[in-house]
Amino acid sequence: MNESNLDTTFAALADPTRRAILARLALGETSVTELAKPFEMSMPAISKHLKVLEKAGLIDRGRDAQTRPARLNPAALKAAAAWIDEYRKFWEESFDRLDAYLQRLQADKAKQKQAMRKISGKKER
Amino acid sequence: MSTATVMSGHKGLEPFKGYELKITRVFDAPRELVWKAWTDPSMQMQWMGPRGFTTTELEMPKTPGASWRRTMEGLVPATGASVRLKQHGIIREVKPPELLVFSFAWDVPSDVGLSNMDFEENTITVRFEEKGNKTVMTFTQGPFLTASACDGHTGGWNSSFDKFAEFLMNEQPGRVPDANDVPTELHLRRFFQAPLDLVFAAWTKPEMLAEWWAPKGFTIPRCEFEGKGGGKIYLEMKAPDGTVYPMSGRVVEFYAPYRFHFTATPLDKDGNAIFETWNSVFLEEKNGGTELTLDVHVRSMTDAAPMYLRGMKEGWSQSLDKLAQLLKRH
Repeated sequence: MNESNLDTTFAALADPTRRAILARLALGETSVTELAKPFEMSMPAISKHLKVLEKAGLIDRGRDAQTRPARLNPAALKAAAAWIDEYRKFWEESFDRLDAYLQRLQADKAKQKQAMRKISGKKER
Repeated sequence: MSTATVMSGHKGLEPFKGYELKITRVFDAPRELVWKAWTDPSMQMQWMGPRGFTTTELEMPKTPGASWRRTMEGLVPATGASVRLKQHGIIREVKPPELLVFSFAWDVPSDVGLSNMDFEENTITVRFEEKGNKTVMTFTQGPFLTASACDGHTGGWNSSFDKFAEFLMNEQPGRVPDANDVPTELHLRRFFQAPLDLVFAAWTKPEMLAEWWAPKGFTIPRCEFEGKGGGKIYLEMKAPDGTVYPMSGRVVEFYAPYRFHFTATPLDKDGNAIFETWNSVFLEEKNGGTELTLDVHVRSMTDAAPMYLRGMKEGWSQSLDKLAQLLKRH
């Protein structure tokens, strides 16, 4: 999947209603009427969302003129799901750095304590 | 996702009604289970309460007009003393498995830093909608008399819902994550062999944050962090190739040294938001060290979001090659 496709995918996914529609479609092909049911949304409003999803290549619409059922296009979503994994890696790498930093701080503190003990030890004599 | 919004009247003729808190969460569980986990006291007790707090007493009848009571125990910020927080209210509506409405009040508002000037008993509405094999919960609470009282409840509820999400996953051991899922939440947990105060300082002192809050190979030439409610966050991460990645944010709630909540928004070179996250950091003393829990929610996203991370990733993998070259020479 090329970069501009991924951008459209994310614009399509930025809306919670559209994400919910995709979750429903994950269970199988569904008619527009069925999709509209849980949202208390007008049919034109749902159709608008479906158009965005279709343009982003996330769903396919069947050819049955009456019902035009919607169906998930899995390849598009796999690429989008990878994004959050990259964001997770950002945090995990930051935590690696935090870990190293905390160890350095405590090692420095221990060295300082040792140095102080040596000095006070010398003073006592 | 949560927002503090002003409840407005019609055409300016009605008086200011107050601030409203709204949190929408999607749980990977069927609605029947979500409903049960909320309304069965023995289940709710296992998750309700922000990280660091446990519900120790709960009376939750299902009859409109009846009273409910809850007691939570946890550690007080700064002193480390144990505290008991009590809440109560009246059940207003119960419509299984989709709607719960009840009033909410703190027994002793000053226990949570509130006064009569900024908090009065208000109403909570919880709706559950089925979305395939998941459940969308819409939680609203209001009115709040001040924006800060509203913000002050956001972190606690969001943290409870993070525990709720974990509880629901544990209740469904056989459940396999959807291959086509696009998660907008991240939950990370990490143990550090260091005292709690030191870890908290590393997270909240700007000169210390600048030592680690970026990918490998990056430096942080600029870092601002104000550790207080409403505090400012701003930092610039510099990639090995010189590209600067600014990030802006706000501390929403701050309970030193155990918990704080902040928003973080990476910006493009024109200062526009690329995506926005809500983050909760929770620290706990464990096994002679500190366990950190980070809950991240992506609240909004633009087209540029995937490019941002890809760009950063390219930045640092290039730097690793350079570093490898450098080390070979020594």
